[in-house]
Amino acid sequence: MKLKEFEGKQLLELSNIVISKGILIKDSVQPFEGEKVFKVQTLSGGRGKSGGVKVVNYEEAKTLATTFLGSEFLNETITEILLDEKIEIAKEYYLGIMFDTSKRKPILIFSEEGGVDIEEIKKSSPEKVILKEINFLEGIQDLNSITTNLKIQEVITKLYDCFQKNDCRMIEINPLVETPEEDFFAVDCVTVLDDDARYRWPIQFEERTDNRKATAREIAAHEIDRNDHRGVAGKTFVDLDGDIAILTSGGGATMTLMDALIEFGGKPANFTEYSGNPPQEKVEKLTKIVLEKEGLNGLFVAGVIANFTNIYETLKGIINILIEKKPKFPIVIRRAGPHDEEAKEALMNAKKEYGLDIHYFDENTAMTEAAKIMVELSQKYKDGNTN
Amino acid sequence: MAILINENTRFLIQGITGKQGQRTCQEMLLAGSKVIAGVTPGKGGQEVEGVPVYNSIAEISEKIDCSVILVPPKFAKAAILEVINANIPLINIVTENIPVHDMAYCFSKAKEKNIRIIGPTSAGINSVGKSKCGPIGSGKSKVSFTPGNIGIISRSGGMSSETSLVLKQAGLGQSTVVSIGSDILMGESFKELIQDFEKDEETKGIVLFGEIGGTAEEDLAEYLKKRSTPYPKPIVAFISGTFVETYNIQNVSLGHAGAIIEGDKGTRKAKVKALKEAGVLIAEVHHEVGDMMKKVLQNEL
Repeated sequence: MKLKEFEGKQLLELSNIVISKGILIKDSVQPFEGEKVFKVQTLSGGRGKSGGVKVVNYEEAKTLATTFLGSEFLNETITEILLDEKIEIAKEYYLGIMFDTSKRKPILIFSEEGGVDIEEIKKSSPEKVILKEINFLEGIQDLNSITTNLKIQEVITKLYDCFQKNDCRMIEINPLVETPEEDFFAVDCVTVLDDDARYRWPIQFEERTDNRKATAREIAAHEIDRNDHRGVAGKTFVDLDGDIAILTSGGGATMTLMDALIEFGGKPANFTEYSGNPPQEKVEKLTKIVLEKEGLNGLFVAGVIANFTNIYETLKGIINILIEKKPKFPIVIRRAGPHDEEAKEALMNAKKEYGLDIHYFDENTAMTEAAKIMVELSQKYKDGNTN
Repeated sequence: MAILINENTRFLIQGITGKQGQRTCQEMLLAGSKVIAGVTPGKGGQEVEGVPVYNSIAEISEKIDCSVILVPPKFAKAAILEVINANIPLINIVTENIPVHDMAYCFSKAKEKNIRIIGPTSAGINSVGKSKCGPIGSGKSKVSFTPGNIGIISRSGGMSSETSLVLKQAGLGQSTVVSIGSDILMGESFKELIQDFEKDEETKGIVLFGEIGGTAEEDLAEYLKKRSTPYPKPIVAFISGTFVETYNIQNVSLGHAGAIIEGDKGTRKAKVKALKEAGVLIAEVHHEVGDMMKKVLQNEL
């Protein structure tokens, strides 16, 4: 989970790194003397370039806070402002630690040219960015090979402590500011914590999934899983602008099916997934949300051959809603696994009794071939409607 | 032949008394795997499907070749370190959601002893018709697999069986199917396993299922390009991620540091480009991997 600046700074402070002291504003600004740095708290980067960071006096801070709080900025609803201490800058450094996936260990990144565009420095003058692999069993060795500045070495040691204590996937201080008095301050930071270690995080930050504002359908889908932990249904749900409703199963399979669908020219109406043998009522609720959308030209239900998900129970949840809504568009289903014979029978009955345009495929048809059939049938249905 | 495991491999299951442990044990025995022992602290003396359960690995007197980890994520680190201490040469981690710092520690420890790790979040290894470990090929999904000459390495558990199925539909069986997981830090990956398949006489071609994120595909491409002799067997890959990139549905961005380490790596576009340059054939739609492999083996591609 990615943290906002003020949250990341709480972790830096726990490891005794000196930070620029700020006041967190959630509603009104208290009077102050002189100047402060007004920083809109966002999860996405690039706030400085978009006007989210400004040096202000009290009057300006009041006006800006009214403008930003509760408003949309960089696709996020702004709920906090950090009124940060203004630090005099002599020099700016970059310092970060993250995991290197190919080396299976953490790596330290240091540059004497910190600031906003570290990627640019890496591209234009890679020699100014120092990368140092960290032996996970021994910690950071040979600090002198990174920098001979003892004060920076101290910050590096503390940052690695912070990285380890908080189960960070990555943490960076940018910029690390050196004042004319040669004191060091962490002025901004980016932190990503490992959700799998949430149970041992020293600070229990509130859960969040995305910085985009969720749609009503997305909220409704997430709600299905919140109170019922049997299997997964609707935990992932993204509204899309297409016309083929999606009910797929399994992480890798869902990705592969969506890829195939768009490769064949189809346009998905949503992105969601159910798996792990959820009960009938959870699939039913998710189906209801998926089929709520206007202007659908197809429903695609697919997944790999299930090891233990009850195919009858899960498909029954879908059938119930189909019977209720009686859509005219084609429904393509590719599912196999435990109790698939019963599922097939129920589907065929629904098809006969309610005139549903159901096309059922089992393990004899590849999953992505079914995606092709879905796109073709959907196109034919659309053409039939316009002619 | 086969890679990693075969009909003689002697397995230990850690977490054998849990629901998933019991089910996996049953399915492994059905596939003909030699499950020698199980470990669950505090459950020593019990039996699961006739397999003796011990409190710790130290209590087991028989030789073990591979340990399958099915313990809850909080206890995974201790379980893995126990295997490393016992010098068991292969660990297959099925457990999901293990904290990445715990895995970093385990990988460092395993490396000191040259112990190989497959996973975490692995659905298992299936040396088809010989033996298997982990939940791969359980229940109805058994129909996806048939013995043959194609090796599969997949970052998705579910797609390891679907990939086997489309090969089967093209008339191709599998030698060994390895589900390597897709965690931020993963054990043996494409680059390492492709070298096992090279030595395996039974394997005539390799199919990969890759995903966006990380650098496993780019690492493989780099390895293939740097080889002094060309890789002798055809490799066909499907890399998922077209949808995610087209619709811009990405996970949390790793900020600046992510951009520096991985550069332009990690995207489907970069992975496909690197693999193509290294001589890997790319299927744009998943089920095409079957026909592509068939054609390349018949020298038609």
